[in-house]
Amino acid sequence: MNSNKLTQKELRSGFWRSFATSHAWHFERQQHMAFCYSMIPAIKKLYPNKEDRIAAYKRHLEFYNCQATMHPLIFGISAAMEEENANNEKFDTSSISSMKVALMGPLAGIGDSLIAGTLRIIATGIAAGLCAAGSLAGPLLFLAIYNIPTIAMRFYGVKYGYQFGNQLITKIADSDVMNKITTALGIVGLMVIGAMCATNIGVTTPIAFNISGVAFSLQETFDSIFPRLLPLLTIGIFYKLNKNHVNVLKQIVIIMVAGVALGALGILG
Amino acid sequence: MLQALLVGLIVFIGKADYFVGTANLGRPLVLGALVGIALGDVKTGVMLGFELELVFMGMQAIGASIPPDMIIGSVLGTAFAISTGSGVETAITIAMPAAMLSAVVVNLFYGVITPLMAKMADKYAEQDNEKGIELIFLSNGFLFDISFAVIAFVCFLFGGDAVSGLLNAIPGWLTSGIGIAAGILPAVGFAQLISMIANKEIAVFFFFGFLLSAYLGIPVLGIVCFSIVLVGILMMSHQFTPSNVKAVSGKDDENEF
Repeated sequence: MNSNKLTQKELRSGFWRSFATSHAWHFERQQHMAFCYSMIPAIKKLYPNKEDRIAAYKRHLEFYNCQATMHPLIFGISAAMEEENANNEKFDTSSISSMKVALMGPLAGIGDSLIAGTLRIIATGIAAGLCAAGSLAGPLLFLAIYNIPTIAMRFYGVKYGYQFGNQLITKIADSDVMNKITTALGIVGLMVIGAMCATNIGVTTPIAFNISGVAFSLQETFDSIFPRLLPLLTIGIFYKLNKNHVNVLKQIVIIMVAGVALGALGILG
Repeated sequence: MLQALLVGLIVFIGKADYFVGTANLGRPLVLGALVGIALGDVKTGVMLGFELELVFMGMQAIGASIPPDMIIGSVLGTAFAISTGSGVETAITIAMPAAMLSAVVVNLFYGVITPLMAKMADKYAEQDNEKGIELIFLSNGFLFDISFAVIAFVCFLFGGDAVSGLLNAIPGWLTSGIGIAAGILPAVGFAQLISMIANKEIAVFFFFGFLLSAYLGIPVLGIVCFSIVLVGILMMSHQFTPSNVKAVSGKDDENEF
């Protein structure tokens, strides 16, 4: 047992790095590189062993996507959980991933509606008069109204996220309780992933026939019997490919070729 | 020339907003003012930016959806309007091809270039090279920003006609094919997450979440609430006995992709 503790330095560094949330965004794993980027100082501090560091880097290069202002909060909790993992051999690392998945969906929903939706509109509304008159004070006021609260939320996100994560973990040091928590987080996480698969994977077919004058659209039939059937089949295929250790690079190339080919053949669209 | 460079720089600032906390620097309201400062007509810049802000008011990147490229659109719109002295309508007509061209480039990055570079980051992670991960992250992000700065620079220098010509040269089957691929790509990331979290005991909950969303259209926050209630019910019926959760730590098939 070693006792590796995070200091203010790594948390502050994570705070600054978490500003970069949506940079280098992409379809496959979205904000994953930015999340890993914010975790790097903490990982370097916590794990003296090379193997542990590699596992942690890979863990935080997994899919991640959330509203930008929520990133520091999830970072804080992740940092506390990584700290526990570094000091407790029995810690199940899959609970870190489950926690991230369980939180990113709802926090994204809250962030999008509260910050991107409400706060931004309020800021625009307050600055509107000055802007319409062509005064430079308008855009400045807009930026201040939007950014002062969000930066404060980021700051307290790291602080309380880390504290909350720590308290949660000290309470559940007992491994039986930890198992229960891991299972519970896994259930919540999987249900969220299921829902996100249903809404975020966009696969539809334009196939349509004309059976003795009656129009028949395959997609409409799917929609009425089993909505989102094609996305479910798609995720099934990629789950299988993953299980069989098909290289992700290959998977991406397959998708590109398949997208162009099936689109040209009129099977998908 | 100098003006075109400044226009490119403003687009860069708008795009790099993602690096500095998604602080709304990329809103037309702010970009219009910056263009106004660059082209020496602050008042018109702010007013045009505000008009465009109202046009783009409802457009905001939410989740995985990509809104029309409001940054290129509003910067070029304001810039053309100020430099030609015409109204915002004519400027939008000139700037629209640029915004469409940008959408193609956005998809190219999101769907091809960045996922491939992310694979390199994975490789660096495997080698315990955190500097490599940081390098990939930063270089890809800024490459993205710079690409759009260059698009804006070229558009402003050569005007709208050149852009339409370039856009027409891209075959339709390629654009629509990449669009289809963009819909499938998230499946790769989700599949990895599922392999990480799921085991035989709890895999069924994936389908439960999927079906709740597909049939009932319940939003993610609602799914979380339901899942928490479900966990509570399972707790009450003592489903989480130690023998039952033993399978959870079956690490063998978890961390292996």
